[in-house]
Amino acid sequence: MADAVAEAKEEIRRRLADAIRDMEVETAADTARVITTAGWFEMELLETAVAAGMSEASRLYEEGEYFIPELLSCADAAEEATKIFRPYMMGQRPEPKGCVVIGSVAGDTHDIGKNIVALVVEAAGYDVFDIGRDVSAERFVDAVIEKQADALALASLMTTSMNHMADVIQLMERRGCRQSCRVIVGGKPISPSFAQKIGADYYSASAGDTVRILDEIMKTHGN
Amino acid sequence: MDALTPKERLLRSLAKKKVDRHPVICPGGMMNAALVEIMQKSGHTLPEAHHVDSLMRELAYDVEENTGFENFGIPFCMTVEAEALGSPIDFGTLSCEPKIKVEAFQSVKDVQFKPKGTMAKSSRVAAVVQSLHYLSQKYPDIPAIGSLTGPLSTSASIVDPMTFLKQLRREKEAAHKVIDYVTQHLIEYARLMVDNGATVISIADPTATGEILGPKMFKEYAVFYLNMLTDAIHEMGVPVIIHICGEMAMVKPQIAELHGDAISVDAFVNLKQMKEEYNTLTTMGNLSTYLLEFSNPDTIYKQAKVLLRNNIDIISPACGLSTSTKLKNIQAFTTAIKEE
Repeated sequence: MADAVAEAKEEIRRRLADAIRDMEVETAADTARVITTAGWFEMELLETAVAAGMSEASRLYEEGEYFIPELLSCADAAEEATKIFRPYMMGQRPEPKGCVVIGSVAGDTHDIGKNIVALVVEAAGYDVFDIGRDVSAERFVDAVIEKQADALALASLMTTSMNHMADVIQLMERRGCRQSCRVIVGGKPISPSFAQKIGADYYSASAGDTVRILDEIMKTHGN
Repeated sequence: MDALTPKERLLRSLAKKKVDRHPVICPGGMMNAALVEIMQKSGHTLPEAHHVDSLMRELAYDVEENTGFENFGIPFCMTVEAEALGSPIDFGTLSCEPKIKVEAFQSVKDVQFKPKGTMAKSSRVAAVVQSLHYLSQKYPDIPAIGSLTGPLSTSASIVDPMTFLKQLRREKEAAHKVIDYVTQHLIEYARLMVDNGATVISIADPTATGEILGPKMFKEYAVFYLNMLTDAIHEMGVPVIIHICGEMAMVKPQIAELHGDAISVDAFVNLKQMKEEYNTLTTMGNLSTYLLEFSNPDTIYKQAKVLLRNNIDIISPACGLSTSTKLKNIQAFTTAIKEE
């Protein structure tokens, strides 16, 4: 009997992960409702199902099978399921791996890439505070201090705005939060040499890259 | 001594005819060359020049005179179209380009369709076409390039871009309706430019990249609407440059389907290889804007010579320039091409 229940749970966990991977918003919501109706509120089931679906979506994106519209649609399906799970997840959410503040720098209203990074990083188990686009250095540093962020991820898609990344790093120095928070920079015009030049800790070329960097940061600098 | 005028040279290059040397241009719009240094010198400044036609044309002239680029390129931003179709604009500063404050609509299903004639009623469209008229009349040997923001980028500037991208999959019919509507207005805007003396229309569509859309949607949306717009401009008797941002490996076969007279690409695209693969393609590009901003005149000069050696048909920056790029760097670039 116990085996049968375990099998049923695994089957439905798989069904939800598949629905998320396949961008099926309605199926994801229906499956989530089946799970809550059955009273299966274990964190492991709720969270791993959504995480597995998003992780497969991220893999397909990294492999060039999915593109941004597909990845965003997977995230919609994951969000639908999470909305249904949320009341049951209270109090049993596991510790996040770390805390990341992310945003596009001042002068830059492009945020598609930044949003994708935020999505993938969140799916990988981090607390993500996305403070939007066209964000001033002051707002970035305020958020880093307020959230006691382990990392700050700065995005820029424009050569006209990329220099503002240096302003953020300098302000972090002046306000005394540079040592406690690693800075990752990325975006189309950004290169590893630019990252080095402005004093960032890491250059990230993709959403997957950002997760790998964060895992490394938490391993070497995490509490 | 040059045998052709800059206008003849560019038009002949776009028509795949022989030229005395390669043209070096910067078409405006996304590829705006109104550098802070030029504006500080001339006193014709942004953001005011986004609105006032007398300032716009003076600044376009200053750019041509100072940089050595062989064209006038206007407007100086990518927001004219979206503003006319309802999105409020933050006009930025001297050094920072205008941007969409907030997209007018949350979803493709919410779009309120504006009637024909909307473009002609926009004061900024009027400033652009009046400037084109003045410059093309006063300097008939210099090509006046009218820059357009492409169908997908304009659509993603009036509809929240994240929702818009999802709706390309989930709400195909409504998405097509909005992009078609936008394209019809862009055709109307292009006609105003052409009727007022634009020599060439340049379309930049940074949302329409293979990296964002993938090959299937790139074909279904980007190629389809760029070609609809290009065909309409061709009917007006004017050639079209299409700039595609980003890495193109994924969408190379689709690039060959574009009807543009020249395809302009980003710095990391190997134009030499692309020319070899698609020998009928007129190539444009692609000096790194990063190099132009952060390098020195010597390196830039040498890199410009590489573009000549690779026989790139029309030489230009690879993408949008930083307004803080040093003028001497741009001059090293254009000098290297002109002394060919």
